[in-house]
Amino acid sequence: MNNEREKILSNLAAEDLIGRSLELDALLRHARGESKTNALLISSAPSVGVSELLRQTYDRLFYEQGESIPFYFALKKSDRTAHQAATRFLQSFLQQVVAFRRRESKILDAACDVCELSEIALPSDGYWIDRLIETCQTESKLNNELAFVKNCLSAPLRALANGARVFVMIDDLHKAEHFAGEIDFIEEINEIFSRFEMPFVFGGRRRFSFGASGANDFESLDIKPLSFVDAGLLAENLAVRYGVRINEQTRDLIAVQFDGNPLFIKSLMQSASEKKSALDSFQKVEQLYADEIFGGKIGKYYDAGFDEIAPRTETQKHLLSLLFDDLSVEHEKTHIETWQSRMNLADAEFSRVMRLLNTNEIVRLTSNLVETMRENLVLSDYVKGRFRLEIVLQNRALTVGETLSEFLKRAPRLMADFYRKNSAIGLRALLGVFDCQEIPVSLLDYSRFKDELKGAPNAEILKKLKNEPEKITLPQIIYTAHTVSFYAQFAQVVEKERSAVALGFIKSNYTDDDETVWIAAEIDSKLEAKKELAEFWCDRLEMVALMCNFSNYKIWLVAPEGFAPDAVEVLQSRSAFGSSKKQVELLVEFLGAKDALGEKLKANEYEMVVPMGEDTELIAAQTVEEIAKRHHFAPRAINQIKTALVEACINATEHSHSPDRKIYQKFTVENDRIIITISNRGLRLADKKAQEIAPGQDRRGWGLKLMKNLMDEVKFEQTDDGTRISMTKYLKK
Amino acid sequence: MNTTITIPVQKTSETATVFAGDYLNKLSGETIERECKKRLEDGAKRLVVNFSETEIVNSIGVSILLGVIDAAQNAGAEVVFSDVKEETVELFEMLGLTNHVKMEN
Repeated sequence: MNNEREKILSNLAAEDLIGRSLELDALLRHARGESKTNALLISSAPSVGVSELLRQTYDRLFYEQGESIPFYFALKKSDRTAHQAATRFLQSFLQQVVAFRRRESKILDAACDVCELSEIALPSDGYWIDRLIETCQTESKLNNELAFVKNCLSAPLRALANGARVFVMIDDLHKAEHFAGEIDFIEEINEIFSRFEMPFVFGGRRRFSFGASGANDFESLDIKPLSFVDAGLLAENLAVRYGVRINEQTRDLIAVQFDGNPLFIKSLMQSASEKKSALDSFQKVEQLYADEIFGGKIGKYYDAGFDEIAPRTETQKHLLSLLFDDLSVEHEKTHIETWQSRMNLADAEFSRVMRLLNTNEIVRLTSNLVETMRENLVLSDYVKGRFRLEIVLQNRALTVGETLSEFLKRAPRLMADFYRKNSAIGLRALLGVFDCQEIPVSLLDYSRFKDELKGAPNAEILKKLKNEPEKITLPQIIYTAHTVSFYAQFAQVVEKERSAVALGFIKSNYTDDDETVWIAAEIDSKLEAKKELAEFWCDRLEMVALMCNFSNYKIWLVAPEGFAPDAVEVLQSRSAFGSSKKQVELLVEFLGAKDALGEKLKANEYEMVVPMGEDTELIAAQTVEEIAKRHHFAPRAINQIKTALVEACINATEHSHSPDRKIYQKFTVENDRIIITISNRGLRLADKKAQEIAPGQDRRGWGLKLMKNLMDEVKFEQTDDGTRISMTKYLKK
Repeated sequence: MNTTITIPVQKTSETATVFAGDYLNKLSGETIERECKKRLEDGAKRLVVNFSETEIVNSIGVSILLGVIDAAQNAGAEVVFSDVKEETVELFEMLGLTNHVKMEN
């Protein structure tokens, strides 16, 4: 896509949409009719970015000017009835059809009524548009509200009947929850679109019921929060856009603290920009975050949500107290009757409030039990802050000061938890893919692995494993959770991510006798784990089994370096498995479980700074040679990389007039490529005269040509003060 | 780092062999150029530049080699590149050097 294209409905430039390329591709494929069903349901937790994704899809389709006319419609809070929403639907529909057909996106900005739109429509559309408007006006005059709503919402069907193919995206359907009146908007729209013979999309909150009637056979697309890496990238991009200084540490803190929520990250950056505040220390980030919670953009976001759910002040106070109490005590779930009695609401209103709390993911409502979404740190901070200010009536300065102090103490803990979580091997996900697969015993039994395979090259180990006659059939796992979810006290001995419980069946017979439970834990030991350590952990996991009434269970311990012989005896006496981390890595490979475990963050970047001149480019070339060798690049490719690097360094030295006389080098290794980034301060390439850099009579200026010929991709970027060359070489096997 | 380097040279009758170092850059290129010109002045009719030790070559070094080729042609001498590694041959081809010299192993 051309980056210079203007935004039509989207809020972000196409290149600024981060971490959503797969989802955008899925939507575009769906628009082209490549999905199995016409109906696609796209949903997410609040403020994760579904609307922007749909708007980006709209813009792409508009500029592509393909066969289908894109139509995006989002319900609004101001739509108080199905009638109002349907009226706006018809007007938006006609406006977008006319704008697309006339290839004039500016029409979308005009406040046109339907009659004006009919006048500027292309002649080929004029007839059916006139008829559609006429029908709706007749229904309106007859005061037949249901017929009017149906007619408006059927506009895409009428268009299709007249040869105009429309790709419909209806967003924020959860807002229909607020509609007053007799007409069930969701039911009507489901019924109408069950007859629509074109791909379409319904979007909204993931906990909203999009129509239990089953009128449409939906494919689902669940939009997750941004990954840690994408959230960091977003923070970096926004920091550049808003001119906010951040560093790698604060970027990561922002990504972790907001758990990949793009709205909150953007709010923080906007506020930092408005206050001209840098975010280059934990203290500055937390200071601004505290401001955000106490009346800033994030606070206002939640204020608006709470006002919508519980407009009465008294109800909101009860709600805050309930949420605060729930967050302050260990037990996680409360009976819904407790909530109803404390909120003091009539049945219908209570039901509405609880439904909205659940849809907005403020609480989790399951089987008449209510649980506050304590994993949402921002929500928890907001609730605690408001409770202290409005319920306890604590002094504001004291509340803000103490809260800020808490945030500051918490920040390093948050990062520590994240580092631990990131380094955990993912036992829960691994157990989840067991699926009755048959594996060699050596993958679970450390003593056997040590005797026969330890120390051999990976390829040899895998070959031997495949030929190993003794096998274990893993159980069929039907449910997994972290051990602390079964037995909360276990949190005192292990971090949540490092232990898991898996419920399943020995075979897929599903009988009482076949029921089994695996209880697994990842333990720390720099050397082979000793007997005492194995005993300690077996005792703890047996305690979990006892407390949860698991009768048929299997313990599985994973220690980085495996287990000492006396520890192996302990494991055998308890019928437990003990494996080393290496075995688990092999098991993951054997089970093809890499996707299930997710991509771990890798230390795949090398950075160095060399002074200009004195052949220092050779030092960089030798470094990149060593890196490329480690990643199995062929000698010829390595020589090409080195030569290109040398040329980039010469280029920096000769042309930049650099004030610091330094060349900044970064080597990034990914699965199939190495990316070399060479930066320098000083004159930019764009500032040079053509003859200074192009090959000429004096036989110089071949550097750029060499770089382009030797590498697979070469990009030149102008920075504010200097030049950055990014060169990629793909690993060809 | 030394700012001057010594280039080994062998001379037999009308053939002079100049050994390029491990890195053909501006400095080593200029040294080769100086040695070659000296041999041409001494009446050499065949200049052999031996690249057996050369691991890496940069564009400045190559441009200087082109100057050597020009000088040899003007003096009616032949220039031969010998023992050039495959990767370096690829680079010379890319920059059009192989059209002007004879390649020998």
